[in-house]
Amino acid sequence: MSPGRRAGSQRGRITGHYAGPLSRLLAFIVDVVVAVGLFGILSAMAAYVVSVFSHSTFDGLPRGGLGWILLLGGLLFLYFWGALTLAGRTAGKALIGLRVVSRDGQPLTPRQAFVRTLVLPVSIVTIVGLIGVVVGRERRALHDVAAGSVVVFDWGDRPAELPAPLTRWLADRPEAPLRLPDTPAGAADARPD
Amino acid sequence: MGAVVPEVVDAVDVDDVVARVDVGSVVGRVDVDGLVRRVEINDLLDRVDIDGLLDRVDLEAVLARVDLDALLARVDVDALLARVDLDALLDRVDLDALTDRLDLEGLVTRVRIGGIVARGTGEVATGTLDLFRRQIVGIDAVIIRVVNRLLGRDPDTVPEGPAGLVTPVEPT
Repeated sequence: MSPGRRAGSQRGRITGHYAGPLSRLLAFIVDVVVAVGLFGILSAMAAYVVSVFSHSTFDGLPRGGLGWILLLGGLLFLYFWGALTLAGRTAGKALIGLRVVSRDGQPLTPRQAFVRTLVLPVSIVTIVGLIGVVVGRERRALHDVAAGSVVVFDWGDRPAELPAPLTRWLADRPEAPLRLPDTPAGAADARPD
Repeated sequence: MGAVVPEVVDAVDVDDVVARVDVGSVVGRVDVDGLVRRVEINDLLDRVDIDGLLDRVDLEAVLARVDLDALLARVDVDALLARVDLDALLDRVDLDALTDRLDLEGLVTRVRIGGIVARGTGEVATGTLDLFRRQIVGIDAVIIRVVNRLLGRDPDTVPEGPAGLVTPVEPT
């Protein structure tokens, strides 16, 4: 992550740059919370509907049972696959400002999204599959390699930016100075970090 | 003598006499300025029926001949406004009566206060979110920098992002 080179006190713009491990971890945590919360709401609604039509009390599937795990897994799969196919990002990635694209920067295809979602549990379970996010040149996890995808910073209609103080500090490093893009100085300085 | 004059006058052909008079030279001998000085203008104006005179004027036709644009172009509006005593003007305005005449509910509806509040709230939320994102991105930048140094990578050889999204920067 060494965007742009220019003196001054503006923020380094990093839109389209490979996302780092912390961003991806936070996005994943948000996604799990959202998906599990969604699952809880849907299962409660389903239990209510079943109890209404069966005129009996239905507490849902036993938590931790095979059916419950399959349903949760299915919902998580649909959540990740559907979101990546439709928008290239899940709710968590949208909140943190990330987007999943092909290695060449093109939008993710449904097939790539499918493979990525399918291999994602393997990356998480093995842990080893996540090492590439930290040490890889393109910061790709195992599921990224399988799908031919990368995760980049994308804040929608606004440029993804580094904090101004960090931008200045990185720009002053002689061994690897930060390359700042051509952004109007001053505009970035007006806002606090 | 008194009886002769009328007969003489009757015998004179006035038109013939007038025809022989050089009116131009007569007028040239008249001291017009002196004549005007002897005229009491105010008395003269007092005898003029201004209303009657104005009744005979076709104001519409007069105004139609006025080039208002040219007239206004000659007006120094700033100087004109500088001469206006706004305080005195406002003192003469009955603001209460004016407010009573305002359709405040309609005004609020047209202004869409809700939209303005929503937009302001949205901007605050967006700013806060970006602030949060910048901190995360900053930590990521430090992590990646440390990892690259530990692995002995040349930062210039590490790609910043997909070629389709990031324009390569020429080394300086």
